[in-house]
Amino acid sequence: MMFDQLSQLNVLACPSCKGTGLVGFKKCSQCKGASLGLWRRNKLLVWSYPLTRYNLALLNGRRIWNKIRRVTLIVLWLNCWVWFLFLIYRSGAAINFISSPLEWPAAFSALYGQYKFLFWLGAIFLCALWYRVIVERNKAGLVEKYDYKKKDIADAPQSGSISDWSQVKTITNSKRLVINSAFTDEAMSALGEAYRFADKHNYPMVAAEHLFYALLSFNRISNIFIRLGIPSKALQDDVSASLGSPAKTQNSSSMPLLSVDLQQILFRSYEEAYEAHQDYVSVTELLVAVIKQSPFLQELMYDLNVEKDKLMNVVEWARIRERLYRQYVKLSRAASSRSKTGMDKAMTALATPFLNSFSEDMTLLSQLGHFDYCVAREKEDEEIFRVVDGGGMNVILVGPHGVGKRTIVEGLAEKMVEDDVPPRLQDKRLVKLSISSLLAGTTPAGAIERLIGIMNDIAKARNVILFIHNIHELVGVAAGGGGSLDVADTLSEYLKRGHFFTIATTTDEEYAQHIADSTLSNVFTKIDVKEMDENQAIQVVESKIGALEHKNHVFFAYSAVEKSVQLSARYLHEIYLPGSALEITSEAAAYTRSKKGDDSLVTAEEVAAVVSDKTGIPVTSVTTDESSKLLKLEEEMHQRVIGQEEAVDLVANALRRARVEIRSKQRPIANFLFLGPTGVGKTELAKTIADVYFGGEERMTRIDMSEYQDKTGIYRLIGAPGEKGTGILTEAIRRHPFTLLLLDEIEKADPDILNLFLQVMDDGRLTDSTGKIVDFTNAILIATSNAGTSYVQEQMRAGIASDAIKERLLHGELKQYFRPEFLNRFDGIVLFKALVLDDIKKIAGIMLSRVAKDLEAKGMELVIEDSALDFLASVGFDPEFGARPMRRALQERVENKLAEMILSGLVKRRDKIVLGEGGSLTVV
Amino acid sequence: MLYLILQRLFFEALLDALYFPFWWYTGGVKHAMFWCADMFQVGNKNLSPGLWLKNIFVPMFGQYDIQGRIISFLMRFFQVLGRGFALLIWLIFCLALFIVWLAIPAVIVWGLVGSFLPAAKI
Repeated sequence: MMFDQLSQLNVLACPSCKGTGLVGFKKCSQCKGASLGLWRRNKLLVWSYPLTRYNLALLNGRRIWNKIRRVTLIVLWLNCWVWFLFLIYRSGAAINFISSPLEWPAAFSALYGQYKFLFWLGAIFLCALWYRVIVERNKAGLVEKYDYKKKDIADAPQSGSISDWSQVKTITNSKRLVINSAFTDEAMSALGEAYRFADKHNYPMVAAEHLFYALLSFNRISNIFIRLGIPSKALQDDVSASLGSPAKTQNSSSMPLLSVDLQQILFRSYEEAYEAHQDYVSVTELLVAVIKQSPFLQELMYDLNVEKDKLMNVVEWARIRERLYRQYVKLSRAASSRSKTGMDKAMTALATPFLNSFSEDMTLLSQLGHFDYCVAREKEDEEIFRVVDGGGMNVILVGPHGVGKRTIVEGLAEKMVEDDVPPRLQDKRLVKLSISSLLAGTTPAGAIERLIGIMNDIAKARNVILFIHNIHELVGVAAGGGGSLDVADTLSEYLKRGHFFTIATTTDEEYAQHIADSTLSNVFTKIDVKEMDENQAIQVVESKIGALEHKNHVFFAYSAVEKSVQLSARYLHEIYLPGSALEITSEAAAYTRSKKGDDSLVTAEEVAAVVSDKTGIPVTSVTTDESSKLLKLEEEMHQRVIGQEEAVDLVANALRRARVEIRSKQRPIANFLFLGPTGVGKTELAKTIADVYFGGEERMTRIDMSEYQDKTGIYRLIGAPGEKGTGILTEAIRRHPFTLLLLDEIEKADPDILNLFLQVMDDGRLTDSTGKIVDFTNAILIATSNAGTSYVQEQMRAGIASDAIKERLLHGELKQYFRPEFLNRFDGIVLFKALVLDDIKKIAGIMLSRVAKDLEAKGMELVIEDSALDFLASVGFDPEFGARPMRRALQERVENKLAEMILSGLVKRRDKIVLGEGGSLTVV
Repeated sequence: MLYLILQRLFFEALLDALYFPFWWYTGGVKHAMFWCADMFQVGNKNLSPGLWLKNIFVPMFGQYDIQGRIISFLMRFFQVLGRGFALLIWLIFCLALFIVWLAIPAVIVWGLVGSFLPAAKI
């Protein structure tokens, strides 16, 4: 995705000082230094930091001077007090202080005046130091707190808004907000550096590119580009080369002014920080603003393969690291002041010994730092809080395995420790019921009794929020006559009373099967937890990369993180995001360390290699060897398949498209229907594809459709209802998604079974009998058929061109076997031509070369003369049966004789056998 | 320009030295006030007599019988008193620190003047 075209902010600049805030060396009398303004959220954002040569030098000097001043004050203070101590020690007065501390005032008064003077002087220096520290620290301001209500009115025209500089004077101080104080020192230095760069090279204006150049010399920014695999030095060279020479030569007294772009960037970076809920405007916000503002930089980024999402995700990575640290500090502080015994502050709670033996306290575990931080789950948290605020008592999180339902609840436990939850959840414990402890070693009736005990405990304690992970495990545990009372019924009976708040989780299937029809469904408010989208998953992976890098001593490039999420979303369907991506990154880290050693960079290639190893799908980038092989695919395939140029071309093109990923990712790689009489090479071509593209004939899933001539065959293909792993087709593809699916003699299958493949060919997916979706998008589907063969042969004998035959076949003959919508879903329907004598001769050569290979293994050499091939072609050629009679001819005329010769000892190792005219075999 | 900057820094430092005592009783007082208020808040959060007062009729440890209620009420009553008293002490301590802030310059001036006077012959 390219960067959005942004509308310009209405930044107003003081006309008197041209936005610099200074006229000469003095503050501008018109704007009093508040040189730039922007009306936003019903207040005037003001920039009052003069970016001029003089002011920057002054600020630099002030920075150095402040340091000198601090050090001087420390030295003076220590000097005074150390001297003071030394003098009272030497005068012997120290003994009065040590012997009776209560007499200190008297002892102090008794000292010489000079000594006391030294002490008080030291005190003045200490106070001055204190003053400096407080004053310097107080300078930093904060970005406004994000206000959800003001989001909508931010851009809308408002009453009292200003659009002209003349109106700025009318704005009172209470409606002004100085934004430059929210910029970090680092961001200010970057602005200063940009100015100095423009000044040094005599540019009349400080442009966005100058700021970008300056930003690249900061560690945090160069780290961002290292993650993107771009060295910042090279980028700086690119930018400086493209800047060109200044528009005019300047004398040394004129200074660069802020360009309109840069004025926009100053305010845009503040807005970026506001939108991202940051406390300060740091170099990362400047980077985002500068790229969004400058079309040149956007082009540069585009050339370097950095798109908007990529840049935003890497910036978010830098932010996540800071945020995690702040969260850690906040959690540890909150944890230290929270009770560890499960008692609330008002001590209204009751001890819950019975509950404790069947549960674990998640808030306590969170206090002890057992949980990872929960990232990018704001939407689900908000939904839970909405239910809580709305007076709801029970929430059930429904989503597939591995999407992070438990992590959401762990995140909630953290929020509870920090008291960052609605009042109803504050000062409470989140307790997870252990279903295995509840059911272990007891009968269903015993489990119900235990559950009643637990519920009473919770109701009495009044500070417990119950969490039941995989609540469906409780459904179906029944007691009483004929299983009349279910554990789940008891649970719903107690939950209905609304004495306490409950959170439960389950999967979609289990919810549909067990919860939706049970009494529990009335009790719970359902919240769907969807699989994360790729950007969210990237953020989660980024949040966990730090630990992984530390553990494996490697460094992750952004491309590696992105690739792990993209590939796992596409190829690993057994686990959901972000779980699958985390698994891949962790393996890629170990793989890189073992391959490249410590302190090496994990790139997209290593991640792709891990995914390739796991799935067998070639996802690494195409190498030179492979690309030359792909370009000569037809040649390679023709070594095995004789003739059939149309079919080979069609297949080779499809494979090339698939490998460079120019294809629809929601369908199989290709769907082909091979038509033709027997023995012309339909199956052989399929085997060749499996060998050439999938790396071996065994990577082919072959289903003989003649075995599926009635409707019951459906259950054999997709599995019997409710039984897992019984579908021949679905299981084969689930285990090896990257495969060639050969449906042999498809015309023999029941039409209802063919309907099953409509969805496969169109959407690349099929649902098995247990409701699991099987992915066919990495398979090539080839169906072979003899349908209409006799018609084709008749037409051929009548001398009609093959294209015309195919046309007639599609519109007439084939309709007896296949419905039009079925035929329409094939990417290519290829009519295999009948073989001619010349083809048969070549096939004989190929077949004989296989025999020669077998003999070579025994140490014998087979020499095939051309006349022998002519002879074999003449005896093995039958236009109706294709190449099959040749196999028989070869067996009878060559292989049988060879076997006899070997058994009778006529040929030995190192012998040469010549296959000559009339199929004669002679030993030389 | 260097000369101008040095000159300005020198004057700034001079003004800063003169502004420092003035700041102590303006911006500094504000700072000290917030600091002490924060400290008091921490004490209030930990002792929280208000929370105990709010729950004065709520039985402790889930003892809803009449005896439990009576004992809880008494216990809470004394807790509120004890915690309130402790918070008062804490408040006095925080205020004392604030007063120390206010007194520091006066004490230093008094000490400096005193050090020039002939020893009080105590």
